[in-house]
Amino acid sequence: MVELTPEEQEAAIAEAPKGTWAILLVYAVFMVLGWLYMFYGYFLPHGPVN
Amino acid sequence: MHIDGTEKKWVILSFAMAFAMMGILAAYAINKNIHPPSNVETIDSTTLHLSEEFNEDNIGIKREADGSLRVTMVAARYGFFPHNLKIPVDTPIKFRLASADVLHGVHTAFTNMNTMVVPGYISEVNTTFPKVGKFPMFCNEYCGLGHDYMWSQLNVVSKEDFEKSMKEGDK
Repeated sequence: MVELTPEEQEAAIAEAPKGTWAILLVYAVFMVLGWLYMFYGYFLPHGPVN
Repeated sequence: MHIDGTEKKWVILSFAMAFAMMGILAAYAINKNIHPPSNVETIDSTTLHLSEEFNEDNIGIKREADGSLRVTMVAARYGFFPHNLKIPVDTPIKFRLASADVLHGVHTAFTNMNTMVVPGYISEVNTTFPKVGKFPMFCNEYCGLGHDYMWSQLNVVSKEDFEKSMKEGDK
């Protein structure tokens, strides 16, 4: 395991959490694409309802 | 109140997604009139057989004076009447349903047709079936011991076949 210097540790804590953001964006993209598929690919082709 | 920067961004993103989805639904509801069925019209469930519309001789599919199609059905423990329906593909159809006894639901599998049939009220659903085929209609509100067996069949046929069957008087 790579040991970080105290300066490097402080810098890592201060900077934006890129990994967390990547996970959040992946979830957001999956959720939006899933919803769009359900609405446009599944719901609307089954016929309008009112 | 302090909210962490990352958390704040995720909250904004979550709200943006929710508003975008709601915006799409609202646009379709306003522009294309696509929304959950809603109809407030009362009827006496105990005397359906005496009413003009839900009388045994009048249920089934009918062509209105303006050429549109209307299906009148009765839901009663444990079946939908008429039990088999033949309807044309890609044609707007108005379904009107009434319960003769308790709360029922009607869900046509593999389509968007789904509504409750509340005793004392007439349920109305306007829809179109874009695919030819046989679709089961299930009761999806528990209505008693025979609920599992309460179903009917919707036979979506081509427009030509439907016109032929209407001429032959096949409901």
